[in-house]
Amino acid sequence: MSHEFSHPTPTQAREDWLLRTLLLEHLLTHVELRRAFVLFLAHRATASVDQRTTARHLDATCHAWTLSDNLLSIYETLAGKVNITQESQRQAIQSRIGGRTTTPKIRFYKSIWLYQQLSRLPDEVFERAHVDRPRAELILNGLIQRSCATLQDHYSTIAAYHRKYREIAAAYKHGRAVFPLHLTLQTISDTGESELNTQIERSVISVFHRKPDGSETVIEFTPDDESEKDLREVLRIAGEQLPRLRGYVGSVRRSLHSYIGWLESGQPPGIGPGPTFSFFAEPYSSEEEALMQKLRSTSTP
Amino acid sequence: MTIRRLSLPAHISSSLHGFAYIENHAIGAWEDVAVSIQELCAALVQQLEAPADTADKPYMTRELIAMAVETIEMVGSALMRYRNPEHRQFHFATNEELTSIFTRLAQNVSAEEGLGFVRLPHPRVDDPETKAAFDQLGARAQLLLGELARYWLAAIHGFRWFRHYPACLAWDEPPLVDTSDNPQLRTVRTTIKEQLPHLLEIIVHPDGRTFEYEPLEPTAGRIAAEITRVTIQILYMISANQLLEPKSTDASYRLPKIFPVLVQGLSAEHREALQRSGEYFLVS
Repeated sequence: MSHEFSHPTPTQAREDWLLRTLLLEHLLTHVELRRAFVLFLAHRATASVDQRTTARHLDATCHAWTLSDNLLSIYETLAGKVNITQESQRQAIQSRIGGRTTTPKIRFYKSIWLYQQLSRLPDEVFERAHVDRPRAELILNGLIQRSCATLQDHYSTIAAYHRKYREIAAAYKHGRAVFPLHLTLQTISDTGESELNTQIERSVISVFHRKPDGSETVIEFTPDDESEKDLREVLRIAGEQLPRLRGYVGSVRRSLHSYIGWLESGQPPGIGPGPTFSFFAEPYSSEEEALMQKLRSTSTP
Repeated sequence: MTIRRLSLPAHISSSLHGFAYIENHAIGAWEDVAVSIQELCAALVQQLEAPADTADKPYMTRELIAMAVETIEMVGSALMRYRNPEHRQFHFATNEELTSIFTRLAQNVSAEEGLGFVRLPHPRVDDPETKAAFDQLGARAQLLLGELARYWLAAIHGFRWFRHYPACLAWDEPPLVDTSDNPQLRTVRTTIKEQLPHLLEIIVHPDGRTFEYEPLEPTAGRIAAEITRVTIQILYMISANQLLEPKSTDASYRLPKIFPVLVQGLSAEHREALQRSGEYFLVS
């Protein structure tokens, strides 16, 4: 059974698919550099033993927050229907992720970028690879589901970090409204009312968060094993995912160049080269490896 | 516990503006923040000037620019407080508030406002030379605040891009996307190619069929570091001069401080006049 697939014009392929791919590639490069910078800050904080220690941990935590913000934006780009070729859409992602008081929920199921193309591949792709289409589709769907589950899990961890340290990072970014103060409430025994005690305490950082209703919450950050573990987890996920995402997007770019060349040649007989797919579904069974290998080898012209 | 939240009861939240000691603690804390900013800035400059790995240099440069922007926002927040006593120093100024403040400052700031902002009182001595020196300080404060505002306004868009969604194209990628052979575009690309050896990087922001080219000068990082240094000294002045101890026997605690960034350009005679007046402490 043949599946309908409508090829774009070369101009459409360049102005949309190729442009998105190139933008995403450079985004990933910058975020990888940011990860390296956060790693530098984390080492600096860990090695610190003087009165600057809290400040250095704060630097590391807040830059890790920015890294988490970038990762969420990448996931949003991959999972969402966002046309990042438009400046306004790229700015909208900024305000959607970083500007909100709640971290948006993203579902990856089948909507991840280009995975939906797998369900529209022409029969000839499978014939050329000498694979049985129904069996191949079953395996591919399994790979997609596992990849989405992995990305969803990583997204949840990053989103949790983003939520937890949001107010601290916001105060840090906006003119360092961060203060080495420890505030407590004490009940006055005569009246039962609370009074505020403050003292300078250099092992903590406090920020004041005013809500729209005028109420105030003081958020106190103490660098400790927990904050270090949280930060390391963000770095670990970024370290794992960013190279894979780069590999994935890089392979899409290379395939696109070949594909656009085929379109510009007037779509000569036979099937044009298709995009190679990368998954996030380790470990792979031998059958899955074999299928991916066969599909990849038929994707190069 | 890494994060502890303390909700303040309504009667405390509503009267927080009356807690002068919190305000003073907040301003006093700027010294700690300033030191930590200077340290990180120095570490970044060191990385920038390291001979290896040129791939990192554009990134490090942009981090330095980001640091300058964030430090200037401390000044913005302090200006909010200066103009509006209801604004608490422990709340940060919003993007809209900062844009409003810096737009005005970029166009119009008086010497009087500049000096008031850094909490420098007029000299009491009736000495023409001291007064002339003080007028020079005012002109310098006026210049500095205007420059910081203009820097922030010029840098803020790029800063937000860099922090939140640093997607772009390389300088030579637009023809891959737009293959139309336009003589104007060819001229632009030739010019860019000629400029490239003198620049750290050129990135491109696409918007549909429009491409905006953004160069990054090799000096941008050093300039940003210098801006941060200047801004920190302004913050030190505000912090020091708001928390004076009039009864202290130590002149450095008792007298309003003038930091080097403000006396830069003053003649030796004018500096001596300020020193001689006994009303200011010149920080070396």
